[in-house]
Amino acid sequence: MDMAYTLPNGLFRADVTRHYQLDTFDKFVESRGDSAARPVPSGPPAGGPMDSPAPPTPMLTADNRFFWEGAKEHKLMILRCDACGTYIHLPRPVCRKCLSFDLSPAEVSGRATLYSYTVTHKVFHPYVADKVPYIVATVELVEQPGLMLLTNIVGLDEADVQIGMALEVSFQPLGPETVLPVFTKLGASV
Amino acid sequence: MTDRRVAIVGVGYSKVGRNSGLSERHHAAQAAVAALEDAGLQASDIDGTSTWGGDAIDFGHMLGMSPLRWHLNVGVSPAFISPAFHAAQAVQTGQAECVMAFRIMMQQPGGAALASGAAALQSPSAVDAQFAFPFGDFSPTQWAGLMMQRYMHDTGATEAQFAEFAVTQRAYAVMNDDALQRKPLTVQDYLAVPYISSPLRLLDCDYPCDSGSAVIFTTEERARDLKQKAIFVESSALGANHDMNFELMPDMTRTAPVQIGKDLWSRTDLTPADVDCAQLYDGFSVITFQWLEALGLVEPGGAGPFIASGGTKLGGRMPTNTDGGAINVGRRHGANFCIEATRQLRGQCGPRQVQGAEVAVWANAVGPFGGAMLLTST
Repeated sequence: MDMAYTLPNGLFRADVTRHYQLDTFDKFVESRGDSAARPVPSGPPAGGPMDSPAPPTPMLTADNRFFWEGAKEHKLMILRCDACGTYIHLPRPVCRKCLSFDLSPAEVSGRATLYSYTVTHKVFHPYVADKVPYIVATVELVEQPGLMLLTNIVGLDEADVQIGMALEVSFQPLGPETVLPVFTKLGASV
Repeated sequence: MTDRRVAIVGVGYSKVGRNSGLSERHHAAQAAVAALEDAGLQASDIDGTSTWGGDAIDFGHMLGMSPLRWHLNVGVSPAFISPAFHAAQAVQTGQAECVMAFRIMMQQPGGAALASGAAALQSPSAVDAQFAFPFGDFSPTQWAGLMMQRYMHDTGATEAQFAEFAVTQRAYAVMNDDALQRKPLTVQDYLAVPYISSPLRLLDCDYPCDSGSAVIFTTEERARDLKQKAIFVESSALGANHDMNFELMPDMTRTAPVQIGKDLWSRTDLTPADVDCAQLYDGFSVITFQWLEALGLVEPGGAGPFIASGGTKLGGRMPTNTDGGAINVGRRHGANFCIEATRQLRGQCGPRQVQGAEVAVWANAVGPFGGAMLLTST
């Protein structure tokens, strides 16, 4: 699949992927002696010196500011419809359920169940070069069926991560200005 | 209003390869010329163009297909099924007589070339990415890892079954001169390759390359006079059930293909039992697993055991991805599956030919969106 996502610094998400995927493919193909492929120039992706890579912090907009400012106060904030109470994530200008345009951020419990996870081994960004492997997860917040959040699982070994397990939010800094809402096993949060 | 039977009469590829050094227009022109030659048509016979990648109007003018009576540039949509589906509709409804559908897929430049460019939120997907990359989610391989993990949880599919899938696809590629990866593969080879984002491994991913693909659709009547045996569009369906945030789909196992499969079969008297071969998108391997089930070719959750028992091999009950799949022929975004289905039904596939193939289904994309097309030789 190829999807064009724009990252900060003008990078396309697909470009970042391609770079690493190509590099890996070529190394693999070369190692096997296949002749169909030829090497592509390799090297670190853009984003600054490798000794002090900047974290991939979010670009704040009118639509997402509440989420990231809430996280800095250790609150998990999700947009909610004032008219019918439906939670909407990712933020959208209108309620999917009743088409009301009146939506406000609301703090949620921070409890969730694990829907799926993937242990990322590949370094897709300089910042994570010394952080792999790490766990990217989709969790379902308890407030509403199908209310999914993309996050990280922390404080657990891979062997202890189970789909369906109960989780709770925790907050971790990402650089000086950003706090990430991440999840860990329910009851294990400090 | 007209309602005409639509046929595929020409297919063609550009010189597909890694970092080919050819432009998008060059790939489009090569694919178009190959498809015209395949069909026995002149460029002036084409009065409609559609594409995902590049510009259908630009391609039409470049190739002397003028004037066009119909054109379509596809944006966010299933990559080749969308231009193909709409091209067939244009012919069916009389908007055009002879339409060429393109998919031009350029390999992305390396990271060092991407340093420049001002920070910008240029598109809805960029806005949404602000909720992905801070968590280290940068790559489609990661949503594919999430999807594969959940699929394995829901169905009991195993890594060994995914390995068998890779081995089976490579065995087809060995029989395909067009494939980029042709060295035989073993289960051990697959398992020895490191994870990208577990359970997803490198050999679960399609193979990046530059590719141009073109397919010509026209009427049954026009098809009679042409060079190739006409292959007919029996049924087709597009669908979507979520935005492009694959990571946030509340059901990653039963995705858009489920509804698409129902729609596809509701538009024909044929059934899954009539299908002789299947050409099912494999941008990531779990996608083919999902399509096998969504199209009713195997029971829900049954794709893993079916593949592991040889069901998708040549001589199996449902030969699948007989060109070797995009994992081996390179990323052509579904166009290879339309072309391979057509060639199978023409009987042109040599050592990998499915004997007596009369009905083929091909499908593209997965998750939030997708599409499928059923083709017949009679």
